[in-house]
Amino acid sequence: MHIVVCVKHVVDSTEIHVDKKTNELVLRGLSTKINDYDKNAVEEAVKLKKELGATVSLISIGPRDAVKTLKEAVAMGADQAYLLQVSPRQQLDTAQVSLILSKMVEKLEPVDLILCGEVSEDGYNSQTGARLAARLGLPEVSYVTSLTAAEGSFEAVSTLEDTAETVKGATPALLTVSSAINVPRLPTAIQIMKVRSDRIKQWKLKDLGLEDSALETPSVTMLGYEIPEQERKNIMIEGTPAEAAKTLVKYLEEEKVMN
Amino acid sequence: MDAVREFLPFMPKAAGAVIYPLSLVFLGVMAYGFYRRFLRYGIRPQAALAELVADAKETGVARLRNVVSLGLLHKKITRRPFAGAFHWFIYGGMLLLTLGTMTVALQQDLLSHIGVTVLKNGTYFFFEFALDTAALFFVAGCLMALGRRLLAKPDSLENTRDAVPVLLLLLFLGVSGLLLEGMRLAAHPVAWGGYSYVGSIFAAFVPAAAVPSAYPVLWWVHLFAALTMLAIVPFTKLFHIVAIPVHLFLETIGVPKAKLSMPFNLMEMAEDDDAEPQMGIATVKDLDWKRCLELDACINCGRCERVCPAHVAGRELSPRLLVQGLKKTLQAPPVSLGMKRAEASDLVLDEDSVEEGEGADVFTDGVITENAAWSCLNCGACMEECPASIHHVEYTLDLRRHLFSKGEIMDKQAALLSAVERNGNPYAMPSYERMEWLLDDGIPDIEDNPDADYIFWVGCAGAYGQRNQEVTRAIIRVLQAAGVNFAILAEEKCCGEVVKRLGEEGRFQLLAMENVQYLEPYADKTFLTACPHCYNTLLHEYKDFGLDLKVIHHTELFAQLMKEGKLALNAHDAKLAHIAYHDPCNLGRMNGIYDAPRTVIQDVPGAALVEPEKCRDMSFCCGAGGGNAWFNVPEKEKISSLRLREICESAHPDVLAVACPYCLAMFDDAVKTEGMEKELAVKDIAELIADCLSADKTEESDGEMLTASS
Repeated sequence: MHIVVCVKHVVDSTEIHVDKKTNELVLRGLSTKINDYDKNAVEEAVKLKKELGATVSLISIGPRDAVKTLKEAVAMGADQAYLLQVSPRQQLDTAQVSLILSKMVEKLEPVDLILCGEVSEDGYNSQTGARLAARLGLPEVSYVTSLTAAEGSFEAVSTLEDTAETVKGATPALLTVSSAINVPRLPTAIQIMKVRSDRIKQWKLKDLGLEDSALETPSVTMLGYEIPEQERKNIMIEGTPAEAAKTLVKYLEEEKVMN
Repeated sequence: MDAVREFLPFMPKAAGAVIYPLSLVFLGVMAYGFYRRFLRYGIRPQAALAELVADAKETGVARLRNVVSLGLLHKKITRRPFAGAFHWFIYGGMLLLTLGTMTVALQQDLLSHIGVTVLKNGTYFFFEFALDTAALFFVAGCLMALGRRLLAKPDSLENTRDAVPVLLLLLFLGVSGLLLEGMRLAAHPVAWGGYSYVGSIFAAFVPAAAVPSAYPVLWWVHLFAALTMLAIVPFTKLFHIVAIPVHLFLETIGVPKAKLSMPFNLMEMAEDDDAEPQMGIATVKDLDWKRCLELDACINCGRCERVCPAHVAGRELSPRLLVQGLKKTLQAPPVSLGMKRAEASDLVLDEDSVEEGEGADVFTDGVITENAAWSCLNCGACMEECPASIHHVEYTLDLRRHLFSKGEIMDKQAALLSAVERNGNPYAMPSYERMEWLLDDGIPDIEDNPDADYIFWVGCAGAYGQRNQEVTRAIIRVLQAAGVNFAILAEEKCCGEVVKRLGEEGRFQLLAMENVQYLEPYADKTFLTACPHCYNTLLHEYKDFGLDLKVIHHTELFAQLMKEGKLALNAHDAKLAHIAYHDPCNLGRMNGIYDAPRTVIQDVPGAALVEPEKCRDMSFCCGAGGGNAWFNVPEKEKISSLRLREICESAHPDVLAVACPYCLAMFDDAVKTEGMEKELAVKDIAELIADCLSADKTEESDGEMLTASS
């Protein structure tokens, strides 16, 4: 069994902030890391590897710095990684990304299972997985919170807000996993450092049979952004601690955050 | 005629001649016992000897000092008065009695042949008096020890199979020796018998007529008992007589208490080397022979267990059982009869034979639980107490390192490490918020105030903890009031203490190297910190990366400023009457800073310092050390609550003063869970001082002005 996991190298979303002086979003010079949701996908693949003796390949599109992210993911237990290197300034939309990824998958065939994180922390589009499946003509299940697989088939639970659907299907297939599916392991710094660079292969567009133009024409372009004002209810609860607690529970029940 | 000792009365002439060959047999058994025991450490005799010689050459004097003060002079043993007393009695008594016996042997078998008599008249009388006194204390010590084991039975004391029999053997030796003396005095009374004052008492009860037949029997039994005692040293608890002094000599010298081991150095690691360095220990097979000996030196006295906050709180950890558990897994290789010595010791290091039970570690083998390893607060109470100078914390650390390398960690720990790595703090707060609030307040960055004398290292807690931010502000007010020229570091990030103590050495070193690079240009400044954990790391750990910093804790600086009269304080609050001080482990026990915080508190106008029962080097951890502030382990009681109650019951304070952000957070929480918010205020010493600064007390101008030095 061959599992391919899509891994994205992203800026650390917890460090994104608005510059107080310029009122602009600070995106440059921030620390970068592996997309946390993709760690769940890697973890799930590594589990299947242990269980079924699968081979796990990682694919990614990103700057040179993404090697760091791929090393971390390989240290988690993947076998090898493939990086399509682009300039750090390169902006790609999900259509372009899914096209490149589909070519990478084709190059790695035969592939039985493709796992993606349900979303990326920086773009938050939740499109790449589905688009990639469409390009490859594969069945796709989103928001997977539980997965079992065997040679030729899989069974997954896809959890949306209020319902959990159990689905069965034949491989090859693409699944996007939710963060609830597992707790990713944390390789030690030494284990990450000791990943040999030759386990991360670098590809160029032409290796995939693509022209440079594949990077040129995004189908959507960001025109600008603003920070939405958030309405807060600002409720002050009065009374003795015992009364206040009761009132608080009542509010929380109304908000449906308590079951 | 001279008064001399009567040698072997009532005994056939041959008896004296038998002692030596007989002793050789028993000593042979003892030697074999030692040999078997040392085999378990995987010692290669030649290499070990070379190491020993090198150690002795370099730091021999310091090592001997260690042996004398901790070993011969019982510095640690006497921390427990009762056990300390009876150990002195048994040890001192046995030492004198052995010297006495050897003196007699020397006199009889050597000096008498050349016509010299040392033991006569006055010297002999003194000799008899001294040995009777020694025997009296020896017997009393044995009885006290037996009483403790059989009657008092403290929880921390385990009666291993050999514990009581060994004591009974010792007691028998003492009593039979005195009885033999009594018999001699009863049958052959002498004018100077009164010097043997204990023997004389026995003599009063011995019928003289029975002596000639009874004496030889008891003499032989006494002799066999004494030789048996020697022979069983390597097989019983008595092994500590040898193991502890040897360990005290071998122990690494000159390492500060707070400094943790560094299992590898990333800077020195070859990049193309594929092998992962040894991370911690999976089993005792990963230990070098010196640490095997360290484990084997544990006599199971239970002192560590008594003082361990984790154990007292009902967690799975007992430092005693940790060391004992590891010790029990030290296995000697199988030696078939006729095998040559060299072959036997080679066997230990032979990979194939060691691999038995491969993949297993002490956790899967059931020697210790993972919870126990995570329960350790790194407070060092066990190590402070241990008479054998065993480094318990290094073992929990090594076990944690092993768990990390296997990925066997808690989600909260993984989250914590990711936060430190990404955000530069364990709170998972954005890094840009760390210093923003201080810079917004106009506190200068070092770039804006390059001439600053002090760099105020705020620390993660001081920067992000809501309650701790108040302490940071208080420190700044005090510094400003005293006219201290200081700056902060805009790019400050976590020092890495918690990462190191959790056992993720690699991440710690990466972080440390980054910090060292950033801090190097300011190495000529003094680093001021309110966090004893940061204090440790900056002062001790960064030396491994070539950065030797001057570090001062805020209580030390405050004490200094007060001495110099730079802080004018006025009475602030009548409620300050009684202030109890909780010694943070990392400041007190680990760095010996006990007095500066106390001096500062005593100078708070209107305040009286009260001491809880557990104070100074006997302080009891708040429950947050060793990373424990960031994850949970099963426990019966909250350590912070235990400590808080103990402080209140023993010192009855109005204010609990702390000097560590972790302690503050823990006690702030405990005061709430214990419902004591109205009776007790928890404050950092910096807040106590800041509250008394004259500048912001304009409305209380009737308060008497005091200067700290008055």
